Amino acid sequence: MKVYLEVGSFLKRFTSEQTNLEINISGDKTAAEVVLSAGVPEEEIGFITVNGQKVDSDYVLKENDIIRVYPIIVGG
Amino acid sequence: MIYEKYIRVLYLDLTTKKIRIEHRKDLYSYLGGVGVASKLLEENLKPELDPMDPQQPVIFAIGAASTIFPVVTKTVAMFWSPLTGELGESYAGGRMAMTLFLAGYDAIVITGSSSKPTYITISRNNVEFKDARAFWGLSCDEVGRVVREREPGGGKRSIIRIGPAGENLVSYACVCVDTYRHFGRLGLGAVLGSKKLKAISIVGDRDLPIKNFKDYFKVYQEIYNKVTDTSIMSKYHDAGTPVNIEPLNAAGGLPTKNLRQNVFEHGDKISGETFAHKNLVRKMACTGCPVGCIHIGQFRREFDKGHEYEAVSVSYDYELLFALGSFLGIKSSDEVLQLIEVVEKLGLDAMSTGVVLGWATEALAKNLITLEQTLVPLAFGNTQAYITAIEYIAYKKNEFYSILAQGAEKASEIYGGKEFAMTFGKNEMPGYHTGYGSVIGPTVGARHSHLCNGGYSIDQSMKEFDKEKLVEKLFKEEKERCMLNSLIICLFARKVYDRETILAALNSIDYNLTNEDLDAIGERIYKTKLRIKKMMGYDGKNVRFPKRLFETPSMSGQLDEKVAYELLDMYNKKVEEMMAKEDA
Repeated sequence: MKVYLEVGSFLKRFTSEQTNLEINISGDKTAAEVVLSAGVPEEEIGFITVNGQKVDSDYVLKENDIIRVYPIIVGG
Repeated sequence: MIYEKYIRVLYLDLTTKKIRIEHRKDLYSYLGGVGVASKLLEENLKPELDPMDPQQPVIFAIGAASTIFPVVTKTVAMFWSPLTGELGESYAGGRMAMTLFLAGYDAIVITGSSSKPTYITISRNNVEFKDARAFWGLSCDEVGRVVREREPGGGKRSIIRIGPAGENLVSYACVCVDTYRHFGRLGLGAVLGSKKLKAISIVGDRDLPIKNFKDYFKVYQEIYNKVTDTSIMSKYHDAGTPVNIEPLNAAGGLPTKNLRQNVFEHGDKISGETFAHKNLVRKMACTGCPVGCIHIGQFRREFDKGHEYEAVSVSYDYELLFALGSFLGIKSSDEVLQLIEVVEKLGLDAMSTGVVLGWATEALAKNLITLEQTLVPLAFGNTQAYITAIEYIAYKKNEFYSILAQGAEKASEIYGGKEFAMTFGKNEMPGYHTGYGSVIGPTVGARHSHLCNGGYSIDQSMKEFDKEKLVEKLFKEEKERCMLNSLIICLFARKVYDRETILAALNSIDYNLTNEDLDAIGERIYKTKLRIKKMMGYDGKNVRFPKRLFETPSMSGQLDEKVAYELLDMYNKKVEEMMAKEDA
């Protein structure tokens, strides 16, 4: 099944500069698994939304889900 | 002082113009930085006098590893804050730490007050008090330029100075340091203003050979490689902290329009990405830092109608984009930069200024104050009105602005609206509405800053909210940062400087410390700060939370006021237990 991954400009360095990816997955896959397999390191992930809603990393994806990954909040 | 078992302190008295240097062996156990500065503040403070009495001290100190290792770039200033009425502690980068180190001073204690505007020049073998009457009234950048032209030492010199806001004793006036760096928070600018001290120029030109170079260089290289070859620090160079706008806005943690909202509908117009595309022109670094996280943005301004344009450059980071952006409903990156330029010139703390104006905007809308008082129609998104209002604050244009110049807490005491005066311990809030950590952290933090214990960061990393765990983490981090700030590392690099790295670094330059020693140093410093706060009249049980924190949902959902007070109580008990051990 097909899902879509959106990567903000500050994380695209981990996805070969791609910001919109169409990904084919088979079986149950979590949002976090897809983000990690796209190349974004775990320590750089702030949180993930699916179809605009913040989800836990173990959220199991459905057909045509739109995943967006956000960077961690940085500072002192 | 490196390789010496003492702290070299320069004492300057502005009233008598007397100068002395002491080698303080007794301060060695405080390592440096905030440890030494706390102890010097404690012993020089006059608790019976007003915070801005001429006799009150201002302390500057560099750390035990300042400029010797990468990203150890900060100087600490400690004083009695005119804003909160208690502990003043602020940090700045730039060249100051390097120049103090190479001039041969670990700390400076300034007391007294000059009868006329003065600036001080400091070098390794000379200190002079000079006439600054011609500088009085100049903006931060103008006085910086004049001192640069008059004083020698370019390249090995640091110049710190105040603007009109400091001269006029605005409680949240800042001190500008070199180019684009500041002792921003808690009103050091006003304290220097009260001493008629317009600027300090420091030249550091000693050559300091490193002993055991092989051991030192091995550690240096390991740290340098960690800083430059891993992603720990690259995010600070690439996007910098402005990256925060996007995730905070998406998750509902971006304080917007005086925290009436947690999401800014125009967040994308002031995001780090937008600034990078539209305004970013270069990046700079503090001396001794290979990262270069200072982002410089540019906007165009017409000299006058029908005339040419000038390009104006200012530095920006997340806290400024929050305070002078989303918090005031400013809808474009150019306008945010315009507001930053005004606070920069006048010498104000950008964060407090934005948050104070957020209160004033809402107070005007609620008819607690009138247009006759504000003189300009303060409204979210009205940049021109805010520019004028910022000038009115700096010059205390009328009675209303004189009160606004004392902070949001004071203004709300007089005009009402305490429930939406967004302060923690009387210090205006930082740009995180992420959960209980972002509320309790700065409230219990020694200087009421998000940087005391990184509560906002704990909110982000805690998988499930747990009261005990949150309080324990805040308490532990507060002590740890006391130790880190005795070095003084830039806190952006705190993941680089883990315990193992700190011990390797310090022990390669002749310290002989253990992990337990670092624990003890952190606690010793924290206790010193708490004693100072008590001398200044602070009681952790008397702090309040603005109601707005519990009305507007946070990134972690709706917060409960009762839970917040419970957490505060739990933290206060931990502090009491620690201090009771000391008394016993």
